[in-house]
Amino acid sequence: MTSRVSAAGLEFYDWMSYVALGVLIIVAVSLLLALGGAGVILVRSFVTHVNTVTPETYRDERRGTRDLKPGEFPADLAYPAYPRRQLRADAEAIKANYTLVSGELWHWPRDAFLEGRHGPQLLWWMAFPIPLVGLGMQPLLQALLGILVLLMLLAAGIVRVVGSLAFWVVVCVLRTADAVWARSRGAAASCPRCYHVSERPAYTCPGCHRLHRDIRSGRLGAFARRCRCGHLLPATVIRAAWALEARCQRCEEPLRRGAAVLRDVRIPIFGDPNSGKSRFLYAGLNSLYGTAGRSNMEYAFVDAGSQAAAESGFELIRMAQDTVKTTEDLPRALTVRIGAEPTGALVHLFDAAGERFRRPEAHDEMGFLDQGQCFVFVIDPFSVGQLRARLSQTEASVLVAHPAVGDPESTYGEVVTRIRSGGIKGKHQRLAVVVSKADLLERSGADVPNGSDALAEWLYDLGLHNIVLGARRDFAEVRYYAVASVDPSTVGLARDPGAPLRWLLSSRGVRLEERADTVLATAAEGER
Amino acid sequence: MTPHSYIACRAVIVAVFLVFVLLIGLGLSDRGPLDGLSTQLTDRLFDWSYRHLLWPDRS
Repeated sequence: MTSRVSAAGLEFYDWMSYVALGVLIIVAVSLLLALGGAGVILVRSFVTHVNTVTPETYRDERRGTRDLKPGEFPADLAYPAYPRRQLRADAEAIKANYTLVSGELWHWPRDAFLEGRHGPQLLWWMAFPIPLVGLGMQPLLQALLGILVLLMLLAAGIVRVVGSLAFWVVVCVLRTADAVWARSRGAAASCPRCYHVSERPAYTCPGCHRLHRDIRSGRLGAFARRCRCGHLLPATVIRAAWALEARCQRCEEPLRRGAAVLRDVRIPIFGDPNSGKSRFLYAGLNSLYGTAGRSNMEYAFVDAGSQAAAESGFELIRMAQDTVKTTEDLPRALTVRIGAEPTGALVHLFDAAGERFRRPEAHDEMGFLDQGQCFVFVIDPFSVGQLRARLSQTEASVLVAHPAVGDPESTYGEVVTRIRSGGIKGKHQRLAVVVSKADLLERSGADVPNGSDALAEWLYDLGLHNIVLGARRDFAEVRYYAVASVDPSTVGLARDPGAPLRWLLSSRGVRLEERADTVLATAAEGER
Repeated sequence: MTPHSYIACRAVIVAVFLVFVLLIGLGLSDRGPLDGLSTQLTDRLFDWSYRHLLWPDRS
């Protein structure tokens, strides 16, 4: 009895071992096919049939999310950062390809064995005589493939979560670095042509010359961005300032190298026609050139226009010749970089013809007045009525001075009214009131006082009390200088044309202190 | 020309996916962090088969 049961049991176990072997083969084949299917899905999704989100698509998607405010631009044409958009597209591609491969695994055996679409039908029946087994393993194969695709999506999800987290941390750090640098340095992107001042300029792609309006680290890349043309661009203002050409956000004029990274100082110079504004500008810059040289600071004109204008102006000053009358065109900024990159400063000086300040209708075009941080008001003492009356006996020296035409008080009033009517407060603005032609005045026998307060009192007594009283009220700080717009080596420190500019620059963090002992030592060395 | 970062990120996804497959594979062969996975699965599978397929009347 026992032996009969044992024999039956043995037969049962033999039968079960065949079943187990068959199941094992089915599982193994299903696993291999599922792995192969997963490989096909990955290759199709990531290599051969990639669904790349184009810059245009991404821009259109972004544009659809909200309306642009005035002054805003649509997103730049660059590929979005992978965790921001492309990863979603890749996950969708995985799902789409899973549907495709899964369907193919269902349809292919059916087409081969029943429809004869993959070669002779009989051959398939001879090669795989038990197609029912093949069809029977479909549920397992589909389940395994589904599990593998879920693992793929899980991997993509992990990359999305971790990648997005890391991405935003990097973006926040880099954006903060850009903002802190710009704020601490007083950097801005100011246009020499249209006078528009923005926090950051647009940058030109070197490959396709397309403008990138917001180069900061962000949705289009944390460290760098890939332009539509394929060119790789740095994704921070600090790096882009040295690698790309900056352009004005408004008029697209090329800006100075280092714009929005270097400290930005804008100094409009105003006064009556013939008051000596241009001469003061070049003499002042010439003096600063000497000061920078003695302080071992870099001093460079960063564009060809400024370089040419300064060279010719310096030559006239050093040769003691008259400067040319300024044209009535709107002025382009004359820009000088003081200090080395990237910690120096871009100093923009605006010198418009005096006639423009006397025409109220021309004020609207002079946007540089609105953007000025420091101002120079040039007064020609020979145009002051009371002083001219005193000097009438020495008419020859008055003629040599080419007295300015107009009334300084009305020019001052019109310019300040124009600035304040634009809503610009004067609490952070400094004004240097420059009495020009001091050397000619002294030569004609007039006694020109030294020191800011004494000069203010002198002007007050000469009848310019409205300027003296108004300037105290209109600006945060006012100083008075009497300068001789000549080579500084021929006049003392008291008449140095660079002194007003040095004082104004010091208020913007540009230290160019001229020490009397340094100047005397340099002069003594020259004499030896 | 798509960014190189796309290729790098996709490579990371594939790598994470392969790590998952490897971990499960090792677990099925009773090794690695998922040791015991195959025992759990086969035990449950045989138990289920025993109860529902082979001898439903004895379950």
